[in-house]
Amino acid sequence: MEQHHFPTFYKKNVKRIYRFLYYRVGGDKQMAQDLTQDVFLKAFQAFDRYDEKVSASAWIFTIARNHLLNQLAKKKPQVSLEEIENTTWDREDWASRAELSYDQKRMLDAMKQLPADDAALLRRKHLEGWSFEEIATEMGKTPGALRVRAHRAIKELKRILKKR
Amino acid sequence: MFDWIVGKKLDQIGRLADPDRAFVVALGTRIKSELPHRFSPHWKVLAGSLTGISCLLVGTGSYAYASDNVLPGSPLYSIREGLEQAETTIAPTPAIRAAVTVRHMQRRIHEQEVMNVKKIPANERQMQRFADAMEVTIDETSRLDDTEKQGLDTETARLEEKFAKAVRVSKDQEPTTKAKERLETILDRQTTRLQERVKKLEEARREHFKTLLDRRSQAATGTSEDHSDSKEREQSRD
Repeated sequence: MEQHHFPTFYKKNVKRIYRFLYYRVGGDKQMAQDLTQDVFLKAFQAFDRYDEKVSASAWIFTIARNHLLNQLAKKKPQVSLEEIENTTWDREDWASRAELSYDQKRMLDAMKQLPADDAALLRRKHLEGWSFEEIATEMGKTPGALRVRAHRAIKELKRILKKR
Repeated sequence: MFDWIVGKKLDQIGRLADPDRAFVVALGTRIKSELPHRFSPHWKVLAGSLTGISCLLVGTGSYAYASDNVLPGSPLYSIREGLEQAETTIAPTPAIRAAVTVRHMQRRIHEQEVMNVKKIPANERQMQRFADAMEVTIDETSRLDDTEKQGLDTETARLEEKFAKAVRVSKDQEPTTKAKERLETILDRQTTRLQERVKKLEEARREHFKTLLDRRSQAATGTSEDHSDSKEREQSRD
């Protein structure tokens, strides 16, 4: 794609990528900003090679994930993608830095009791801000199926919160 | 609690992790600054239009100035006149202005010749302007010193002949007697003016030589023979 389309692409994706990185670096704002900048500058350099047939969100998300993996691997060799997806998410520090209310903390705790796939879906949709269409492209499922699943996950979350 | 409230609460938590606006703007600006320079489509259209208009104006101006097809009475002829007027105005010295005027007169005569060949009748106004142009050319050339003339006077004399010939041909081509008479009047007027100028020139020349002789006689304190010799010499030269 031509590089002069990149500012529009940037505006559309910057918040999501930042949020994705922010959660995974334990709420470290400065680090999240540095990583976001690196990711978008890398994407800018490669933008003319970007194939429009591939989802733009999936493309930038892959760049962000690989970049994060490289950065974390410098600190801790042998880190895996799966580890990034799960363990960093489980870290409590971002929640404390973000000064969450009691209700919000309760909700996040309840999310941890959901099946991993459901929790990942709610995280992508509500916390990171992706659309069902974009998540469907990434996961290889239909947006309709994901809507149904997200609805069920929210019902389950509500049930967990009531039980507490 | 409704399901959608849970969704909204999760969205609220998500917004807590939004980047600072200043950071988003700064990074956006940095990315824009690294973009290769590119004109917007509006600017491209504007630049294209301006180039087109300029080309059209320059092209029309050049055509009007140089083409043999642009003759008195043609819509583009006024552009030629304007450009020639500008050329005369910006001439820095009288010698250059005279040279420019002579060049313009050559063109006027050429135009008249073309009109004669094409059998295009010249109206009275055009013929009057043609005659005026000849007069201006003679004036400009006669004002110059001998050192400045550099063949311009010879060229003017040649142009005068050509002018007379062109007017004669034009007159002969006129279909009606009335038109012929009008042209004849212009020619007569022109001839009268020329005769008057020749007279004035002769008088001026005579005055000049008289002054010259007086000076010499005053300077020659010597013999009257010398004086008479020199007088004779001056007269014979005159």
